[in-house]
Amino acid sequence: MSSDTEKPRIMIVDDQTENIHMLMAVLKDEYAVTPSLNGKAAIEKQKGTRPDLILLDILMPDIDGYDVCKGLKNDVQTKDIPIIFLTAVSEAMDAAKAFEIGAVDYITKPFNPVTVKARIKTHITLSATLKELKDALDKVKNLEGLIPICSSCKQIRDDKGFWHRVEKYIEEHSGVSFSHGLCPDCIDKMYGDKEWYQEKKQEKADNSE
Amino acid sequence: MAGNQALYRDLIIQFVKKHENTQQVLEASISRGDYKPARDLVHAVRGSAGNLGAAELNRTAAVLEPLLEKKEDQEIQQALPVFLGTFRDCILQIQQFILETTPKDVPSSNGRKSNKTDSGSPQEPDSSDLADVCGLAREILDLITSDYGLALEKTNNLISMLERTPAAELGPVLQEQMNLFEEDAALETLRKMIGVIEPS
Repeated sequence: MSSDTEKPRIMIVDDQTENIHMLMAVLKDEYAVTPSLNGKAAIEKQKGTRPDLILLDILMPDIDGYDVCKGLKNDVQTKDIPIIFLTAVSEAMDAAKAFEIGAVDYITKPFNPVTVKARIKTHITLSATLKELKDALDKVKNLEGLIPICSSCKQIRDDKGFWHRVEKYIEEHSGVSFSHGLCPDCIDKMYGDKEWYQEKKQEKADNSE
Repeated sequence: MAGNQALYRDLIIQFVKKHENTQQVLEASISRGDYKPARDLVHAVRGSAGNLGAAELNRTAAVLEPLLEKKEDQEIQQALPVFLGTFRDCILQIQQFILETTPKDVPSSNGRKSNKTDSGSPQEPDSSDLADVCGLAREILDLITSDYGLALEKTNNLISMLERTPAAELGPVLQEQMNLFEEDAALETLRKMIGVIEPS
């Protein structure tokens, strides 16, 4: 989704202005709506607005909805935007074609506002959940793969070439958090030459005998 | 129409305006055997009619549309008069409805408030009113690309505030551009509006 505070963004692509007005009336309170009267403009506009979902008419004068959908699904930047076809065409063949090219749903006109809202909400939620899962999976994969580590300072190099302290790297790529302390070997190394430490150590040894 | 009677009225007015020449264009396309534009036109009528609750028009368009697609000449000649009869009836009914619902009876979808005094005479806007108008126009400039629904709502407020300002005549122009989603033209009009009001 765009951000936690912003309304999710929906692009409506339809060559009939009154259809856009009707959908906008239904959606404007919960979503930031971007209208587009043709396929070409929609492809351009989505670059600037990055919609969370697209409602796409099929029969339009320049590029039809199928071609717009194919174009968006072939682009790595836009392939995950859920697309719902919204059209007066209701033959079963069209529905099959819509799903085949990557649409997530298919609604026929005249539409029921309650149904449209419910379907949009479902697909936006699904899409956000899927994105979270993908992100989580990416992080897990990073920890499972080969991790370059400096043999001297033990810093880890990430996939962008930056070096990180090992605990910071693991914290960012897993659900683990670290609490800091000193192991006995390191305490010896750091304070072994201090008198107070030698005394304390001796005292401890005496007590244990 | 999500309970918005005024919006519905605005939309059916748009529908009538848009389809002023539909009958002539449709008949001309069919008579010269050019079925593609005829089909697109009937498809547009069908979709809009369905959403506007014109069930009979939607039904007759749904009969004619596939015939035009398949270029079934004989059947088109039978279905066309039925469609056109329903279409004309529908337009007449809408025109009747528009005449009967005077602006006094039906609030405009913009819910605009009039810039008038208790005595009914319009009030001259002062400099702070003009600054408010410019502020709102700038807000709409930003919203057009990010949240058009909100931009449209605010445009309706802006137009009511424009009364008696030097940019009053740009109000209906902007309203029309916004309703037709002519974003570039609307942005231009808003800039022009600010340019006219600011020096005053």
